[in-house]
Amino acid sequence: MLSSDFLIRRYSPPTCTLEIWGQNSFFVWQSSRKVINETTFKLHFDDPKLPDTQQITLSGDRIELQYLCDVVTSYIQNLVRVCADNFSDHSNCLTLEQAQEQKAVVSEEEKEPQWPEIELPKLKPVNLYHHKLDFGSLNSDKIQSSINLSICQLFDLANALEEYNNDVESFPGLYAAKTRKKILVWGSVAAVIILGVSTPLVGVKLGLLNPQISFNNRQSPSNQSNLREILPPVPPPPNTEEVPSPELPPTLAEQEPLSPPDNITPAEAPPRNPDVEVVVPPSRVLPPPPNVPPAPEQTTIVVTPHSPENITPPQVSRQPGQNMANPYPVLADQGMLSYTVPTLPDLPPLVASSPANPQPNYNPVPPNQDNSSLSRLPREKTPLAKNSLLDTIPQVAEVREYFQERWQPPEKLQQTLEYRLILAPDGSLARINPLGGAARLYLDRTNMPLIGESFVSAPEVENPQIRLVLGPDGTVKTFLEPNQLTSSRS
Amino acid sequence: MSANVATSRLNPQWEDLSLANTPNSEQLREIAHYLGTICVALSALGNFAPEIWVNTAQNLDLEPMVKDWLGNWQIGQSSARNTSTDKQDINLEEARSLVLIISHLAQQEQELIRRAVSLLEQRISEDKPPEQTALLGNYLDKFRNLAANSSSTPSEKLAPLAFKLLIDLLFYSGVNGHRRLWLAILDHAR
Repeated sequence: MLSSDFLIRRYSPPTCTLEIWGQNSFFVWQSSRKVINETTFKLHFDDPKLPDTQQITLSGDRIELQYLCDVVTSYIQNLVRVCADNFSDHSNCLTLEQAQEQKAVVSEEEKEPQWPEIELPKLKPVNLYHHKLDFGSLNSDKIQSSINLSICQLFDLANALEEYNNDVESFPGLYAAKTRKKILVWGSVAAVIILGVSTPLVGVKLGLLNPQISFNNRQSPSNQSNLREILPPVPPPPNTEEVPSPELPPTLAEQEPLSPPDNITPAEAPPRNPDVEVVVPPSRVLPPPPNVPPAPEQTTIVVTPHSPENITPPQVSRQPGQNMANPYPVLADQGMLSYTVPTLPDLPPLVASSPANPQPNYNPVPPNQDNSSLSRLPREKTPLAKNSLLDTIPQVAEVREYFQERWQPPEKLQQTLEYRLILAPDGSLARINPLGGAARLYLDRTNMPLIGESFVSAPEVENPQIRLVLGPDGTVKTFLEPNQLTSSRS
Repeated sequence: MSANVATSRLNPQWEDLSLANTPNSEQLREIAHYLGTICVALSALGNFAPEIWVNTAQNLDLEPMVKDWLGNWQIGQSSARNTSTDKQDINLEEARSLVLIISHLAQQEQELIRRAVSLLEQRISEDKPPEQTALLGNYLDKFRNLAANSSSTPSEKLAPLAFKLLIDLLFYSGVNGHRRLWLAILDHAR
């Protein structure tokens, strides 16, 4: 059956990626089974500690995904009910095993009889910090039938599934199965394509042989009416007869011809009422960047400041197998988890930018290139223009020196760790953003100072953002990032 | 009060906090105790100033609902008197409001909570005491100080409780965390 898969939605917390795929079939009416589920899912578990060949991907249909959602949701609800080691005040707490047993009893009672042939996925506790997910009938491209999840991995999986559930509730049409009407439309389109190709060949040949034979579509009025609904009206072919020239009727021919009209000049604009205030329309706000599909080795690109000082170029972090594009759905308005910086398509030049909406500029600017793109930035004083990207600040070097003394890469580390550090006015850390799963995982090995703990001198600019790049070979690099307003924290 | 309730109900998350049966007074006190413990854990980790709770309630238009409860709770935190046998009362509207406030703050601090849980997992896997790290050590010290005034839990049990609450906070900070917390406190009250 000819079909095409297309990605409907992608959810990418740090340690897993959930993709929802749809299917378009051009020959659906030939299928003997009724079309019910046309969405499938793929669930990739991203573990930076494992090589690409050992990364696990599950797949299944919409029903299996819904069941997985229910399993994870109820498992976590049991998990938060569990006591911490016989805490006496919470006399109603259970051990994790007891909670699971209660759930298993309930599941037996509520078991759906129409799924006897499906082996369902299960979650089981190993201990409070490790949880085993049995895949059941979910397809896996690896031999293993289960995976051990840490708390953070379980949390990420739950978030992706909850986001999916929210979208299903909010936009039920997004994942709706195709209706009979839509099948007819697609079928009609296919028929038009076929007829459009074959008609010039068949019609001419038949016309030459026997002009009395009509085309097939005229013998079925219902199909003809459907096609007329779709096809635009075709103009009649030109004939070779002379086109008759129009003649004025006698009554009009006796009238005097009118003089041609005067030249039409543009009307003057009415005088402006001085009592009415001039209302300036709001500046154009660019739409959010489109949901670009991931590239296998997509790199993180940041603006390198054009500076005469020795600003080291950004370390390109290549993490094969990890989804680096911004995959979060546009329509989801839940709190967003922070991700690695996406590679955005070239945006049109900013015409005007209000201080409330400075636009991030991630187009790479090689240091030696003419900065004509930067010259198109607005000249008015916005926070972006005030904190010039071309100047470096002493804190960049101070941060680098701090970590050069302390950074000791773990033995198993193979990736580069990148962090976005936002400094407070007193020189302490206001915020730390790990970029990528590996950065999150190894954050506590970096000797990162605590939030609020002073470690560099007080910056003169407001909340400078410094990119910290820690290499597996012990190298430390830092540079100043374009300052921007961040969206609400997740 | 009814106008404030009507305003709060405009919050779409409020409607997620439904209830089949109204808890009795003893169950409400259990709910209050659990919510208070969650607040202690979040305060200890985030190193919050005391006024952050009221400020967050104001931002969410919930301040009239919970200002009395928060005031009593903070007095209990600062008092040397052990109030565990005299559990603080709470009504349903206060409980709902607190659930929304806690999940909102947890979501704001999700990065920090995740970092703490990740560090906890790492130390456990290496068979090393979690409290010997700066982040978890500070958290545990603050938790002990805050929980000592409101709990009869033996001191040796406070550490496992504190770390378990970190895990709970992580899940309450996620998508639909408010629903999770609401169901959790209803389970605790049974």
